[in-house]
Amino acid sequence: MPAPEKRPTVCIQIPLGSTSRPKIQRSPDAPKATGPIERRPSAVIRKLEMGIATPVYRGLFQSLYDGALITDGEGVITDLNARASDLLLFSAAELCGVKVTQVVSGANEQVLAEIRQNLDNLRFTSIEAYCLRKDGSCFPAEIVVNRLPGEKYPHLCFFIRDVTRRKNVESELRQSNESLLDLNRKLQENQLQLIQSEKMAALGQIAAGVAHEINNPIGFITSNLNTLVEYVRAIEELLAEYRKLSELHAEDPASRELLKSISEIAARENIPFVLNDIHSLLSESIEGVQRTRDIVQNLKTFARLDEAECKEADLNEAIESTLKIVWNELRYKCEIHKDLSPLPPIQCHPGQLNQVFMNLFLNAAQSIQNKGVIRVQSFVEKSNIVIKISDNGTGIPKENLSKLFTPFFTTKPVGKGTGLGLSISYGIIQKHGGTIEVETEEGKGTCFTIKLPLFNKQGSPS
Amino acid sequence: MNPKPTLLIVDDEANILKAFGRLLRTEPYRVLTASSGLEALDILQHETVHVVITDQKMPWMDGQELMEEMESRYPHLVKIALSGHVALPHISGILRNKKIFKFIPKPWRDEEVKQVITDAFRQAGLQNFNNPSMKVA
Repeated sequence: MPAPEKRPTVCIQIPLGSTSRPKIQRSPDAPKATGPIERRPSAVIRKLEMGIATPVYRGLFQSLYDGALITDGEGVITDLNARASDLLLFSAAELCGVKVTQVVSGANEQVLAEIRQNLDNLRFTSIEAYCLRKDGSCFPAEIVVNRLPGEKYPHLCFFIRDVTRRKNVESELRQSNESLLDLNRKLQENQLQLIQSEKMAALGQIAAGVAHEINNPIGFITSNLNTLVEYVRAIEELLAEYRKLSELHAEDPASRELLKSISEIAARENIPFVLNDIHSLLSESIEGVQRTRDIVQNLKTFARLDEAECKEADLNEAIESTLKIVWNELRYKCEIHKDLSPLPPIQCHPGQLNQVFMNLFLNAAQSIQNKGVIRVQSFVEKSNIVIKISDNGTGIPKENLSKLFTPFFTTKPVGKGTGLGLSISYGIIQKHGGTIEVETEEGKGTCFTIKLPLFNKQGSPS
Repeated sequence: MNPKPTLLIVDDEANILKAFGRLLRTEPYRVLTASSGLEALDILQHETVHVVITDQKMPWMDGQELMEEMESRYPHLVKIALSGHVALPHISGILRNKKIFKFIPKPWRDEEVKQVITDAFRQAGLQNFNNPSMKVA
């Protein structure tokens, strides 16, 4: 809506202190209601001067919805309407001669001076302040201050509107907004975790189906390659004998033509190379199938998360047995520092947890370039078993942190990592009702912290 | 005279049958193959078989049905299940059938398979020995 007048207005915001319960809150600079109210005799005279207004305007003044206080130039109340009495619980007689600053907490001398200055240039100004009632309570008010037109005295008119309801609603809104923001933050955190576990669940389902289909071809390819190795060995054995035969007949004129043709073919086809390469060909292929098989095996873990056997186990034993398995991978470049406190046994899938520890140990070892230390700690904290596996390796770059637990995310070269280790670990720990967190600093190292509840809420991790 | 020890392998995937054929070519038993449950039952009518390896997921008649059919018709057959299933409910479902001698997963390890089959023949031989009715067959 366009403003009908071009005159600017100024709004002076006076801090209202705490907004939660404005009805009973007293602003620090609110006047004390119990103290004696100071009166000035001159105010009475001015009130009489005001009294000469015509009855119509008097009626208009009284019927205003806002409480109206009229003060002289020094801020002493000279007149007020019925609404103002209602709002402030003071009678007109009680308020006349009182300084406005004693009932409007925000309107101290400085503010009044400011208002006056503003009013020299403007028609009105508005402030937000607390008004003080006779009973000592106060209420938030929106006060429009106006200079009375045509007055020879610099009278001011304060129109007071009780904004308790608005302030209450505002404060409720602010509170619910804050709790919504808080909720939103939590939701965002949960969403990330949810996306992660959804991915796991979806992958688990796909994995079971895909693994079944892939297992058929892997089955016969593996078996065939092994058979082929046998065949090649047989042919090589035979070939060696043929070679001896050809050497025996090297000088035999009847065989000369045939031997010449044999050596021509051998040269053209580079048979020494072929015979040598057959073995690489086979071993590389077998290794490739083996890798495919490992990937499927890892994928199977997802499908099996729900079903593997659950029993009571000591996690320190699990850590020790896993260390034995991975020892060969670690021993050349890692020192292991163990700091395992006695732990109560918990219901868990020990095989799966072994896999988690193994993944973390291997990752730690791989992050160590030359020589380093892997530290494994276990202890009980509150109602959780805490296991920390840390290394002083290369650390994880910030940009990779968010993708760390994502299936198929890997920084390792092709063939060295499937990108499933940490996502599988994540899934396993989640199934156990626990959490897995990572702290890392590039160049300093990485620490994975696993927390597993001593008593799973579901009774068993399933 | 007892007929030559005979193994029947059932799988709807021809390459699996061929791979097993190659793997077991030099083993001291006869290897027959069938690409469906019905074909397997047909062979069983005409041949003396001691050990059967059957895939589980096959069209028309799956491994479980074939197992039950063989169980009722030829109770002395030693039956081995073969499956690429990875989800445990499937596998434990298969294994719940107490009449199954062993379970071979896909992919399999050649040496393990040979060992399982040898054990199965031993099992079949013991049954033959204890049960005179088998000798008639």
